[in-house]
Amino acid sequence: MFKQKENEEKTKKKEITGNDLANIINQAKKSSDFTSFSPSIQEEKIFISYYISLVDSEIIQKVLLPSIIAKIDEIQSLTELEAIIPLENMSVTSDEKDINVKLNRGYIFIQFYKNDSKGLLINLKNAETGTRQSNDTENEFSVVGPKVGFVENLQTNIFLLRQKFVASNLVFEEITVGDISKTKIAIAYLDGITNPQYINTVKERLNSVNLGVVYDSSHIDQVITDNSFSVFPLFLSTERVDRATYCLELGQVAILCDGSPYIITAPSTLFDFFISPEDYYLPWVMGSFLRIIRIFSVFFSLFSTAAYVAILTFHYEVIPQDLLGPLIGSRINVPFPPVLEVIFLELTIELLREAGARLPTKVGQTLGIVGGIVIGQASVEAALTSSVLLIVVSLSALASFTTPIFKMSNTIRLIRFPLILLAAMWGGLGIIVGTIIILAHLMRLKSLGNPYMVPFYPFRIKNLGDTIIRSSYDRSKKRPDYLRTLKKFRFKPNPKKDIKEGLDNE
Amino acid sequence: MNNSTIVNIFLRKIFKFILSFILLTALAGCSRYRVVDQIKMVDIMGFEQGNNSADSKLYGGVIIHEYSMGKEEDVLTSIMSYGKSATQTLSQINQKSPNLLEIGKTQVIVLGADFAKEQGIYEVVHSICRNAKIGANLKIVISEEPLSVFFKKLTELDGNFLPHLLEQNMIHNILPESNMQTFLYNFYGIGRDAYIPYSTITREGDIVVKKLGVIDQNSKLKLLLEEEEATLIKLIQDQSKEIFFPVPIERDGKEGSITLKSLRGKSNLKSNHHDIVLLRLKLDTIILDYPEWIKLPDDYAFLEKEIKNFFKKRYQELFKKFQDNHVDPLGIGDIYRSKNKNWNEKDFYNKRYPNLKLESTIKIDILQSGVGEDTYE
Amino acid sequence: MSNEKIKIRESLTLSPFFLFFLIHSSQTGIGMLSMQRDIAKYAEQDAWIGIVIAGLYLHVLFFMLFKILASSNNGDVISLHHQYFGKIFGNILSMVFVVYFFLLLLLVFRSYIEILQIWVYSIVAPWEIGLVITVVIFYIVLGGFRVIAGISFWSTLIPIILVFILGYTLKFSHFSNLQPFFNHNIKEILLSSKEGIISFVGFETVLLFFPFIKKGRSTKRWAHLGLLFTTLTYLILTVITYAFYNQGMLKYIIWPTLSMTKIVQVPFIERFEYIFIFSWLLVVMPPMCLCIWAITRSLKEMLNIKSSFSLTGILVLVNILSILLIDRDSIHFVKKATTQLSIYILFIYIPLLFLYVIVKNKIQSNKK
Repeated sequence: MFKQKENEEKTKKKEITGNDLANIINQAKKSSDFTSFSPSIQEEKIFISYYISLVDSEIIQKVLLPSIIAKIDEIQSLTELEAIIPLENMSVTSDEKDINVKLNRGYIFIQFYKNDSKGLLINLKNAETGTRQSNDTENEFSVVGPKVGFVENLQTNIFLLRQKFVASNLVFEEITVGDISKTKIAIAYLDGITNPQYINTVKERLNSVNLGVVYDSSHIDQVITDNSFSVFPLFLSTERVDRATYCLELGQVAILCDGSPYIITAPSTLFDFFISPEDYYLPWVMGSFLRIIRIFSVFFSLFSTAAYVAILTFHYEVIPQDLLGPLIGSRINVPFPPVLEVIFLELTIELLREAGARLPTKVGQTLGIVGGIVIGQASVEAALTSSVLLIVVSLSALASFTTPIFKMSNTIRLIRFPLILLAAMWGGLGIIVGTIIILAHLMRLKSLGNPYMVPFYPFRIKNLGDTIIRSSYDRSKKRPDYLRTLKKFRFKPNPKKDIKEGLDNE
Repeated sequence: MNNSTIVNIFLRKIFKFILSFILLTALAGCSRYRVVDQIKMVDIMGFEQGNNSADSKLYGGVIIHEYSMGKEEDVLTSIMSYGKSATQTLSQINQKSPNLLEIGKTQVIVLGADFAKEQGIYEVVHSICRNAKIGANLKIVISEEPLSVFFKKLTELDGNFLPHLLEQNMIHNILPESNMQTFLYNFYGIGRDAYIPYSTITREGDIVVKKLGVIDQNSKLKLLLEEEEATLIKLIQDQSKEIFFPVPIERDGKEGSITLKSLRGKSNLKSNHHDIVLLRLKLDTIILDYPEWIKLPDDYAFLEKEIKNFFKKRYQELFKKFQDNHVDPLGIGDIYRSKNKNWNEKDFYNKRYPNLKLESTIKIDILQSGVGEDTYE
Repeated sequence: MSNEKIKIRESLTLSPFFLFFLIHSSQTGIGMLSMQRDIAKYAEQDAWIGIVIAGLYLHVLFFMLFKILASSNNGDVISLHHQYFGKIFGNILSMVFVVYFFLLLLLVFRSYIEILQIWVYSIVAPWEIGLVITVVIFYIVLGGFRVIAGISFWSTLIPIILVFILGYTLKFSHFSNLQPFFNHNIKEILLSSKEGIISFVGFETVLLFFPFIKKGRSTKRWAHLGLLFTTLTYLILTVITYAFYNQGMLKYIIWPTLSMTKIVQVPFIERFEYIFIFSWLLVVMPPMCLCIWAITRSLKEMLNIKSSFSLTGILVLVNILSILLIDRDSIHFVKKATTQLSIYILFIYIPLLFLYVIVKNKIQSNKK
């Protein structure tokens, strides 16, 4: 859903006069970190203005000022000044809007006379203050493989991506979004491979966004997504460089946001959220096995507690004979019906998770053990819950964390609750009704215009190789059809040249 | 905002209204719940003849599991009552219990022997089997002892004694495999008759299931087959031929008995058009016990011949017994039905069945006899 | 309605591959659960021949249907009626179809609720189950034809796993139950066919959703494959049922398919029929959703009623009527009525329409 333009008061365009420039500088002078001075003794020419907090003061003191002061008597005009200063990325401008923005981005503004309407803008931004230098991707951990992650600085992120696409047609298009924050958002794609329709759609949507401050890329994600009522994430967000590289290579579009370490890739399908970079670093049989376990754990996490409620409340006949003893025995003294037991335990686990996310690290571990083990054990002994249920609930909570993408694991945890309620009301019928509604909902979703459940619906048999299982590299040489890329082949593998061994070749 | 969005919002409101309506009404009722620790599950149910008044035509009982913390205290209790019909008896029993009784997990149905002989089991079977909650893996047993004695004995034993006893005997021993499905198949099938395991309590007080009761056309217990005859039926009907079988042998005036264990085999019952029923049986066996005047492996051929003759004789006797009693547990009527276009049940059983002849072709292969032999090769 | 070809938006059309799933899943509803017993009434163990006959006739019927739809402006039957019979009389004829689809919807809806009531929930009131199922139908149909096609895709795939379970029955099967072959005359076999036809109907909704399918060389092929698949499924199911239950037992068992699943023993789940019955909701969804979609679409094209309004109205009507149908007799009555109407439509109306269209086209092309 796009945010409608809420601005009803349109600011009238101001005429460009020297007065306005003075206004800008006067307004800026209200902040104590803005300075405006002249290096010449008489203070009649060369006025330098900039924000101290934004600028790299080393360059000013070591490069800029000495070069100006050395020839200060000879400089008669702005152009001579431009020739003397040994820096690049300079421009002369009189566009006061531009000057305003650029002053705020760490440029310095040099006017020749005090109230000149034009001046020289030099980019001296101190790019590294306040941001991390590295990201160890602790949130998307993998045992094997590089652990390089994006940071909050757009330039560093672009740098990291460019390392992977050497001499190829990786294009970054920058757009500014946000009236107050004027955040730079870069759209990355491979020119000649990515379908231009997706690029255009992203550009259109970003251009019609009307926000004040852009906080994070996930903020942008929610604003430009196809369906903001759905709990399912429609764009993939990742902080791993290798994952973003994979998405770009396949032909997806990546959106980088200045100030956010997560980049968004689109269009994504439901199964993209369950693949992990480790699948590709381990042999394909191992990777497929891990993926199958992951998908199985998703189903387990969704349905196990609901099935527990349904079976114990309505359909006792389904329980195998030998399991009846332990199940009933474990529930004998519990005063609540199964659904209340389940909700109690589920809420406890959610509580633990939320509390654990906000605890300082030193206290977190201890409390985790206390919460997990002690509370669980004590509630079983106090006969508030049954031991079997404790196992089921904790297993399903664990299983919900196997999804590599954080957004999707949240979704899975959320969908469990309506299923539990439905199972409590109508038993098995409730579960199947909930499943059908989820299925119907998934089939309506589209990510950037692409159906969400492809390649299962609409059925594309050739693209099934990278969903539930991961096929070997010599079978995955084509890009997926649903991305409609301009070039089909990723690479062309050569046939094997090994000497054949075995019985037939002796 | 144009009309369609207003209408959409209206429809969504109706949607939410219906949903909340359902929620409110659904949570109100609690009679629909069958929470697993608040119901008592019937493990074994039984019926037999009551006294002859109209209200107590049947005497029934159930055995229920009392589950508690931990498996060691697996207690069984029994509740008995009189009633007019099967389901009515069950509801009378339910009235005596503090928790709701549910029959969905019944494993065995016990019927009294006298009840089966005189009143016939049709009504009980018919009313129980129409209940959707009954599974198809249920086993049926006829008990010689009166129900109260039998149930009292069962409650002293372990939890799953009777179902496991029956199942074990069916897989590894002499009983032909029968559960609700095969029983009903034989019971309702035209051209077949049902057979039910028959249990007794020995003098020492053990419950054994060694005999087989055959139910005739009027759903009454007609014929009681002993252990050996039951095994003969099992060899034909079941796919698994794993049984122990004692066979009496005699040579040169010396009498003895060998125990053979059959491992695998094939059996086939066919008819030709001349009123002859062909029985073909092939068994792979091993000899376990044999008298000392038999020397293996020299006497394999002799033993095979003896066993073959024994089977032939016994099958003839068994078949004649079936014909005399007008029962057909082997399903020979069904075989004739599938071959003749104008087969009529009444005509067949009245005219043709008593005059059928059985021809059996039996092939016994003795494979081995353990790790010891009597002579060198 | 004007006479020009009105095109559905390209983005709404589906590839012909989905015709297979749409046709197959619109036929398999609740008929499959009790069909074997109903047809055994006349031809007993030869009733499977009746299924083959019914299935084969449907191929002929489909051939006629394609020819009819090809001459229609819009690709669907409403515009055909308008073309050939004028607006008012055409609307009357289309109304017959609307009533037919409504009866079909009511039958499937009520029968499934009845099955749930008897097998699982005796205490829960039928109107409550009906309302729950209504909510699901509402949500699916509100998503449009694509979502319905998706549900029919899943409803074909998931139950295939369940059908493999029927392999457990082989242990207790006697295939000699099917003998003696051809014991019955052709009249009894045709009567069996007639009883079984209710399991084959549902595909007439193709008369309404045909414009939504992309036309290509493979369209007809997928449709015939879908019909064949249904017929094969029914045939295999009937043969397995007759091998498992002999004719004597079949008289007493109302839903042989469900009773057969009682024998299945899977580790962890003792009574498999519960899983089977609940998953059957997924199988029963496509006929209901397609019928309702067809009704709303016809009402939109005939009387210009907005689809979501008619959807709500029809669902309310179905719920009210299903509350009025209290016992098995009344459901049986609806079943008989639907069977009669389907026989008139399939065996009388569509061939006549086919002939009429062919003759009229010939006359018109001769004029030119």
